[in-house]
Amino acid sequence: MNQDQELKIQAFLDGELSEREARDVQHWLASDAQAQALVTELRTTTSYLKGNEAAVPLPETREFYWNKIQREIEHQEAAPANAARLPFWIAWRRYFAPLASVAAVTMLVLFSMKMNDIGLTDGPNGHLAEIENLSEHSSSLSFRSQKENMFVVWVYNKDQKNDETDLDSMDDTIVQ
Amino acid sequence: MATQPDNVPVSDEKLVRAAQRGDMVAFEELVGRHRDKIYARAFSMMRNEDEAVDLSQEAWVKGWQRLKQFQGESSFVTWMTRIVINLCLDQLRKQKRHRSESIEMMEEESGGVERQMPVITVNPTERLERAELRQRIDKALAQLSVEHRTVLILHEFEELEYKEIAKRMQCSIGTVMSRLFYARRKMANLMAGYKREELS
Repeated sequence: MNQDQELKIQAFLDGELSEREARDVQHWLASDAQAQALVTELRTTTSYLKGNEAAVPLPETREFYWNKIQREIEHQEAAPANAARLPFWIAWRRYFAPLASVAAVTMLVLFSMKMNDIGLTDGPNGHLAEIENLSEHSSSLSFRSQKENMFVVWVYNKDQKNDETDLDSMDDTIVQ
Repeated sequence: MATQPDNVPVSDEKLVRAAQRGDMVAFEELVGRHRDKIYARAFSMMRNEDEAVDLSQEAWVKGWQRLKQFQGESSFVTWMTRIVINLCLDQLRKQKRHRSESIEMMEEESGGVERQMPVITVNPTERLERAELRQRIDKALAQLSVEHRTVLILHEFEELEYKEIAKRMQCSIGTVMSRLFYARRKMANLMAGYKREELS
C-alpha cells in the first residue's frame, strides 16, 4: 500500500469521499487483507477517542476567574472612550504649546534684559528686540519703554509675515 | 438570572439574549457554566496550565465583545469553543515561528517513524475503565507533536471536516489528511504500548 492509498482509506472512513470514490475503495478493500487491517486499526482508534477526552477542571475558583475577565472587559471598553477624547486634547495642545513657549521665552528675555540692561535696538524712547522661539509658525517682537514704564510683545504668524508689508513701517514707527 | 422563579435553570439561549442586551450578570452565568469546557479545550491544545487559563479568559473577553455577532447557528458553547481554538492556533503559530525547523516537522509530511509502525490488530482499550481510558488517551495526546495533536483534536473531538481544519490550520487538505493519518497511527501505537506495559 502506498501513502495515497492509505489516505484514501482514511478519507473513506471519515466520509470525505464522493459516492463513486467510496464504492471504488470498498471494492478494493474486499480483496486486500493489509488494507482491511489498517481499516480496523483506524476505526478502533477513532472509536475510543470519541467521547473520551479527559476532563480537565479549571485550576481557579469561579470568582477569581470571572473577576479577571470582567476587569479586562471593563478595561477594553474604557480604552475606546479614552481614545475618542484624545483628539480634543491633541487639538488644544496645538494651540497651548506655541503660546506656552512664547510666554516662557518672553519671561526669559524680560528677566535677562532686566539683569543685563541690553537690547538689539536702543532708542531714546525705548528698546526693541526680536525674540527667538521654538515654534516654526510663530515669532514675536517685544518693545520696552522705561520712560513710559511699559513692555509690549507682538506675536505674529511667520507664514503671513511676507504678506504683511506694513510690518517694517510699523517697526520704524516704534523705534523712532 | 441563573434560575427562573420555579427553580428551572435559565437556558443558555435566554442568557445569551440577555448578555447581548448588555447584561453582564447573564454573561457571568454563561462563563460559570462553560468555563471548564473552554479551559479544557485550551489546555488540550496548549498542554500548559497558565497559557490555557490566559487564552480561555481572552476567549471569554472576545466572546463578550462579539456577542452581537452570535446568531445561534450553533450552540453558544460550540461558538465559544471555536473562539478559544482560534486563539490557541494563533498562539501556536507564534510559538512555531520561534521554533527552528525541526526533524519532527520534516518527518510529519512523509510520516517519519509512523510509516514504519506495524498495524495494531488488538484493541488496546479492552476491559479498561472509562476513567483509565481517558487518562491513557490524555497521556498519549501529550506525546504527539503539536501539529498531530491539533489535527486530532479538531477532527475527533470538535468533529470538523478536513476542509474546515485546513482553513483553521492554514494548510492544505492534503497536509490535514497526512497529519491526521500519522496522528492516528501514533495514537494506536502509544495505546498499544501502554497495554503491553500493563500486561508485562
